[in-house]
Amino acid sequence: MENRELVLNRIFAAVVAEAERAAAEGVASPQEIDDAMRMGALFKKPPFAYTAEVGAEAMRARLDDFAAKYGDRFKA
Amino acid sequence: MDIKKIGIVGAGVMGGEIAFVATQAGFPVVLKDIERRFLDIGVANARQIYEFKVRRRRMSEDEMEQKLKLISVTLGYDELADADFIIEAVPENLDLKRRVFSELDAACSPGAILATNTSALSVSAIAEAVSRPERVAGMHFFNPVSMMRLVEVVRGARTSDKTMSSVCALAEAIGKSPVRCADSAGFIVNRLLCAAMLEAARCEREGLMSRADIDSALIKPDAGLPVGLFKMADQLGIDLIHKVMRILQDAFGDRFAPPEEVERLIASGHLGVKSGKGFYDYGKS
Repeated sequence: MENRELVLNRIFAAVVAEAERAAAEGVASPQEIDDAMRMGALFKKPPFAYTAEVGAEAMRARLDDFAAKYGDRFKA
Repeated sequence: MDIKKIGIVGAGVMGGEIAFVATQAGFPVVLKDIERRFLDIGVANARQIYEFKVRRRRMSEDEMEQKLKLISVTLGYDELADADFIIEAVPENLDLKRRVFSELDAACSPGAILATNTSALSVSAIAEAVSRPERVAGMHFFNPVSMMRLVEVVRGARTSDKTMSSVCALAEAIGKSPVRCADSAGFIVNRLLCAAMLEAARCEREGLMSRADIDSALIKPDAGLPVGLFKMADQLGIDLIHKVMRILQDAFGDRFAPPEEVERLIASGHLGVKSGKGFYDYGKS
């Protein structure tokens, strides 16, 4: 049960970090990225909507924690 | 831009799917390929999707035949001379796509838009092959095209605003929802999907959960994926996933390096559903 939560959190956090990098690089806007993931990958919770649900501060803390534990891919 | 005729270059399954969505919306299309058998596959595929609709009583047989009459086929470029809009869907190989684009450039009217359906190649690099790079854009459809709404509309280095608008308008006219993005490796969806798959693979490798348990956790309502990530990789094809990860690795670094397990599957020819085995075993079909 504990592992299940960690695994899901890690997978979604990896997507959030990558989405933030893509948005910062100007690949597309957060809204466009969410639209694309909803329609193209059938994610019910695309990265920016997921972050909004978790809470921006909580998400930031989670990314920092994962970056320290697992590596720079979680640094956004 | 008023589009009267769409050329689809590269028939096969993808070309046939695009022919279906275009003709369903009422556009005449010309399917072009280099061999008769590929044209046959494309037309057969479009027909198959229409027949499914007829069986489901969403369309009459007469309507289907009318729609199929909108498709013509050709082995040469002459038939594309009066097309306003070309969608290129040949195999994912930069040299091949550039060759096709230079041939299209010579054959098509100067005002025609040339869109490339690529999931991984640089639109700007493909556009270098033509004298009208401002009229080239990426149009990345998702499989199966008849079901998936998204089209990533990719702006190359020299794509004009007008071309972006025309490509988005055509995508909408054939029932799709365009999302604009920059010409960056993996565009949006493949990049984020690979990030997700790679993290799932790391979790499995660390022994946190089995791949089957990870997949079933992902499709629970709270995670909300329609299919688990390992299974999705099998459906897309391990070879395709591997290729996209390599392109992402070149562009963004080793966080996208294909996992060892993917390298092993490739080496043993286990390419996913299509070869009967990938992350999962599908038995012999």
